Amino acid sequence: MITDLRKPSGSGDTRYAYLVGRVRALERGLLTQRTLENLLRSENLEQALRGVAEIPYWGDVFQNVPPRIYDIDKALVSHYWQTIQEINSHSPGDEIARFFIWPFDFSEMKLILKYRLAGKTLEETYPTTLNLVRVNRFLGGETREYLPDLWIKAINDSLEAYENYRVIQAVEMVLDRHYLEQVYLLAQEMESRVLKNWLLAFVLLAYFRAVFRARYQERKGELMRLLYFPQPLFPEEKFIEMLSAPAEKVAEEVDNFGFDFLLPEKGIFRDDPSYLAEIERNMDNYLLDFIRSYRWKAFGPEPVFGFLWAQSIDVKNLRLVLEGKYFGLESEKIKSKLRECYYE
Amino acid sequence: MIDGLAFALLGSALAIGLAGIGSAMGVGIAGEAGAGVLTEDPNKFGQILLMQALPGTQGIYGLLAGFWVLIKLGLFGGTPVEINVAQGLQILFACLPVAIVGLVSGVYQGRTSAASIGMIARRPEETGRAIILPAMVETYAVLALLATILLLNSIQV
Repeated sequence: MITDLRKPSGSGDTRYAYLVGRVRALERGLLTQRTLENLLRSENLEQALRGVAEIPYWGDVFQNVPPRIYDIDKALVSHYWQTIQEINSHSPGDEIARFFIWPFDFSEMKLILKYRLAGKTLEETYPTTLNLVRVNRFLGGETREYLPDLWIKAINDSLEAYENYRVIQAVEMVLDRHYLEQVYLLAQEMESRVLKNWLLAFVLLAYFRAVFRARYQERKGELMRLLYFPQPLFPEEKFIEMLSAPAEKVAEEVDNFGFDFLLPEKGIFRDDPSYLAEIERNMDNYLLDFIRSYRWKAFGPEPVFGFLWAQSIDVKNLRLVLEGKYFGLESEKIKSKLRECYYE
Repeated sequence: MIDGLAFALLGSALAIGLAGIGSAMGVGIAGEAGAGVLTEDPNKFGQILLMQALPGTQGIYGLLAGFWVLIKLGLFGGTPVEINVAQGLQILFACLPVAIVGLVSGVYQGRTSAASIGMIARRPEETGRAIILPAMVETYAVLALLATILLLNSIQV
């Protein structure tokens, strides 16, 4: 993939001065490799949780949280969601916070539709900006109920796909397609060249991830087509071809796209879950490394975006460490799954 | 008909006005960054205030140059000195260094201060170094003020 990695000029966007200042203070709470190693040395989950409490801004997160996976995960997500909301509430932070809100909203929509199609009611709500009352009214037949066009189209497309395929994965595929399409559109309107390239790389890697997972899960090409929206980054024929192509051909295509570094072994692709996990780790590291190069910028959206992405990676890392400790996994095994940190 | 006094007063107004605008913009940018940091860490108020105040000096330099002109013209004493157009233009041009450099350096010092505020937020132990960076921009505002004063002193009225 060709990305424009020209160094940004000194004249940055001072509209982000407040948010950059705020993010600089919050960055002290980001995990570093050393913090992670200290956490890995913990003997059990309780000790690891005490270690997390010593990191700035994380101290209160696990207060009164029972040492159970579900509660820990909820606390992590809620802390991350709160940060996104803080950034979102200050203009022009909302321009970039959208990208971080969508995964929550689309996940919630998936849950709502899954429950509805199963004839159940969703009792517990997760962080989202969706107006659940309106969504439920809309689904209940009150189609005049105001919902943004994005959601009306996403719901209608999802229900139509379910009618045609009669599998819940069809709903997931359609919603994921709408999500990726939104990210792609955001990239088109993004003023920052760095973020534009980053978002395009994100979409491209999401398609790679989908192809690799579909191959392993032996999903049908017909169903996978639901995930695809037309864009010049990843041609449809290539997308469909890679789903069933021999492993050598997949490795060749990855190389053709310029993403050979994603493969743990040069020029070799394997339909193997641990190999896939390593590829996904490399994808996360690539995206972090991309945005990390611009964290020093004094102005502009890049440091704010980078911070939010770094925090999402921190949540992923903490989840790996804390869940690993809960299940008594060896430190080395947990370490092999950890993503890189924003600050070394 | 425009006399020399009008040009001289224009010089004084530009020195005060442009340098003041530069400072206002600079202090504003640094203030925004400072507010962001203080939202998360109110204990840093002292350091942040100092950093925000740094770009404010250009406005003071402009005011000083402007008053210097007014004193030179005898406007404070109530008996204005009569000056011709050539002398008026000389005073106007003498005021330009502090006016122009004050405007530009105020904005850039504000940006540097904002960046340094970020540095203090992330690494509080580096406050000393963080102050030096915007202070470097100050050098040129001081030189411009010096140039304006020397030029004003060399004008015979």
